[in-house]
Amino acid sequence: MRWSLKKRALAAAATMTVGAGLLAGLAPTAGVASSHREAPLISADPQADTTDVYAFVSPDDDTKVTLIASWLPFEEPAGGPNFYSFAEGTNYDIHIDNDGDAKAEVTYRWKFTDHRRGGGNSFLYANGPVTTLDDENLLQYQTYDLRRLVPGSSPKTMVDDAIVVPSNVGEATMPDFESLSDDGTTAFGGSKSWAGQSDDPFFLDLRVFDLLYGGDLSEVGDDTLAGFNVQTAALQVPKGRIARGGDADANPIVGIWSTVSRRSMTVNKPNGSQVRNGEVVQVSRLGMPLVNEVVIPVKLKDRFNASKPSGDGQFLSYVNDPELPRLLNAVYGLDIPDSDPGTPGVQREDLISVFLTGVDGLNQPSGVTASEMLRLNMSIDPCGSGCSTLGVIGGDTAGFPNGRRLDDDIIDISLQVVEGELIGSPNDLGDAVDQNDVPFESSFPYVGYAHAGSLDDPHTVAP
Amino acid sequence: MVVLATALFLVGGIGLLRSAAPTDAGAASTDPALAPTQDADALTAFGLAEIQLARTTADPSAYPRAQEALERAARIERRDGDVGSQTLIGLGALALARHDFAEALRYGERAVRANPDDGDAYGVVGDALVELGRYDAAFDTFQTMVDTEPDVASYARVSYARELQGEVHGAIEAMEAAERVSGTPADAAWSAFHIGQLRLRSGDVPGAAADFRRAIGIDPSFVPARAGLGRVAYARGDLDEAIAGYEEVVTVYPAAENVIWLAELQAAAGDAEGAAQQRDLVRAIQRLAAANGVNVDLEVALFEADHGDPDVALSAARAEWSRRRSIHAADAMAWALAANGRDRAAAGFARLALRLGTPDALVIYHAGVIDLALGDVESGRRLLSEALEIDPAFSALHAPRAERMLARTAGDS
Repeated sequence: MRWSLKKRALAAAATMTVGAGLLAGLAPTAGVASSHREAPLISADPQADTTDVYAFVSPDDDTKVTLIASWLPFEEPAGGPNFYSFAEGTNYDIHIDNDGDAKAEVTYRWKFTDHRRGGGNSFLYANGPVTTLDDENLLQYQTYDLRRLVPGSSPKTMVDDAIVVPSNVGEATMPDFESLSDDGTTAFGGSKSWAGQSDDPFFLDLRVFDLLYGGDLSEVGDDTLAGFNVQTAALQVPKGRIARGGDADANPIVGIWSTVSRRSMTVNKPNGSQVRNGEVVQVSRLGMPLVNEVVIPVKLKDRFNASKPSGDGQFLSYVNDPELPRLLNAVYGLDIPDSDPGTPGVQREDLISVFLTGVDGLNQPSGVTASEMLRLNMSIDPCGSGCSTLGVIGGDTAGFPNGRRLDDDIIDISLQVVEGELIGSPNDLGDAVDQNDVPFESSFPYVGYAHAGSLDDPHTVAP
Repeated sequence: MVVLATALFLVGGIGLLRSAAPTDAGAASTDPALAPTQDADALTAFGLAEIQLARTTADPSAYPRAQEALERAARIERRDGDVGSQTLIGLGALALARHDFAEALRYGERAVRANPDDGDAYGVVGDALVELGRYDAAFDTFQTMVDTEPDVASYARVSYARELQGEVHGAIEAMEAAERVSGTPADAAWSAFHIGQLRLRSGDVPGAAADFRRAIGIDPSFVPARAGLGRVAYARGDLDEAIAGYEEVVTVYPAAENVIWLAELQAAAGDAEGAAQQRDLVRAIQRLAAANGVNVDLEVALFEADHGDPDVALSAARAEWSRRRSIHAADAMAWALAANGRDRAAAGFARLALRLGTPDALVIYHAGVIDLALGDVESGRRLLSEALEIDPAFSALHAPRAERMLARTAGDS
């Protein structure tokens, strides 16, 4: 789940005003307080802020699926001197529900470790050209382990101490970042893993949330995410590795979502237990795009981030009568679609199937427990011809909401669907941002290369 | 900012003109473009940014601006429905920063009701409870906070709760976890700095020095770590280096506790005139804080008990004790009573200040001095030794006194 834009904006404003980058509002003891240890104002926790999840049958190898998740939005390429990383002490997970019961049967978990070279007291990221991932000139780097978790079995380590692709500092330090990025792929047992900095694959005009483009649909077309990077983890596995019973032909439909979790701790009391560590707590969740912005009200976003798909019944009413059509009605006078006008109140069976159950005949598992996740029917081949960035509503069933490809135009699809595209109200709403600012690659991990810190103006898209 | 610069100019204190950064940031914050906005989210963000500005610059003149913005945000949100949890957290944080802990508790509780899934709301409640001396409830709240959102903010609270209860090792562990999950260099530097503080308070000077240097390496602009290195220099017996370090620190970050340290270091080096100037500066800073709505009674009580008027110290301590019953308020009562020669009454408060077993060398030292004055040589010597064992350089004024008192009373018990 992209964290609430409101919370993110609050943290960003605090950062920009003081300039020093105190994102979480951590600060020293205040001027006049000798006893009062001040702590954070608003904990933004950007490294736990999941931006997007993607799942698709691999276009260059249709025997395999690719699963991608990204975190840490709005990484400015020239972010020195510290640049960007995944958080240590944090579980970055992609979960797979392969029987429709709203619980994970398979989980892939990345865990990251920091390393510093040269004594560790330099704040420099690199002190010379970096031409390989293990280059001694790279003073700060991360490694990761990838584990495969199956309930009832002990975790299996699939990848051990692989190197994370670093932040793209700029051409003087990283003259050939693309080869560094390519070297980040680790192969294991017919599968591949990659983790590091990439271009943010999502594209949209974020003013959609400024009262829907300031009340003027002509004010669209600016890709707000152009030129920003994210931390990305990608995985490519044979379909059978995530299908129920290992049989992707018989059981091709899987549900996919991502979480971030960390261990709690105990506040020891004088007479209390000495147990140091508490339970693992989920702090972020994301499956379908835009659920946070389109469906779940602001006041419930923290609850959603802590929730499990099996408890999604509590959010049903927000899917059945979402805020967005009401907002579009208030601002533009558009009709509020209703899938069953005969029943009192707004009914949106179409959205319930898209967001919670999968679409019947396309990607709905039999006996599905309603829950929010990306649902992918792995038996549908990648599109050869007739590809559409509008995915299913564009006649291309290999795309969203059958899984999600990197180039699916999520904003246009979502706006059109919430305004009734699937229930007899065809429309062509959109934000006029129809493709990413950099090309996606044709092979794993497919994401665009991270923008370089040496670019003069990374956020201007060439016309 | 004008007020601050003027006040410091008048007392002839340190060169404040180098603190240009807060002036610039302050100017940006009065951007007239923001003034007429009806956007509650923008106002809340602005208010939080002003509080943050005060924290990073030690300039309390940002607080009234924060108050205006947050109260306007709350009015707009109330008009349109309910006041949002972020605005309530902002108002709570402002009350915490101004040391109005009862009000902070009220805002924090409202924030929890508005959004029980937001860890930051529990942070406001727990911080307020700690300062009010309601420790059981505070620690329960911190537990809820970290079980809701394990992150830098909640790990830092766990660390403080453990430290208060004498669990220094566990407190360091929790701060190390905070540093690991820090999402920004500033957070990582802040965490490293607090690890250093904890090590300093457990007598690990080389470890603390490494932590402070790491903090500066992560974020070269993080000034408090330079004050930490000043403490390290003093602990190693290098008075000149400690003074030079603190002079640099207070020039850009004139927090009262740093100026007090500088004054006491200068006095220890025989620079009575310099020390007197710094003490005038401390009083100006305290007046400036009060003028911006910050309650400084506790700080005034300790400062006046050490350096000024015992009557002022005691009335300030009483005022604070009437508001809250924390170990620090009890310590201020004890020390202010002792400054007035009322050692019998002081001893009871000193015991209250020790009730959690907090390894705070200064508080333990206060209790020891009071016991010695009462003729309880054994207890007094034990407490003074304990203070010096925790941190042999806990204060440039009092650590040498503790040594002398121990030497003088050797063989008396």
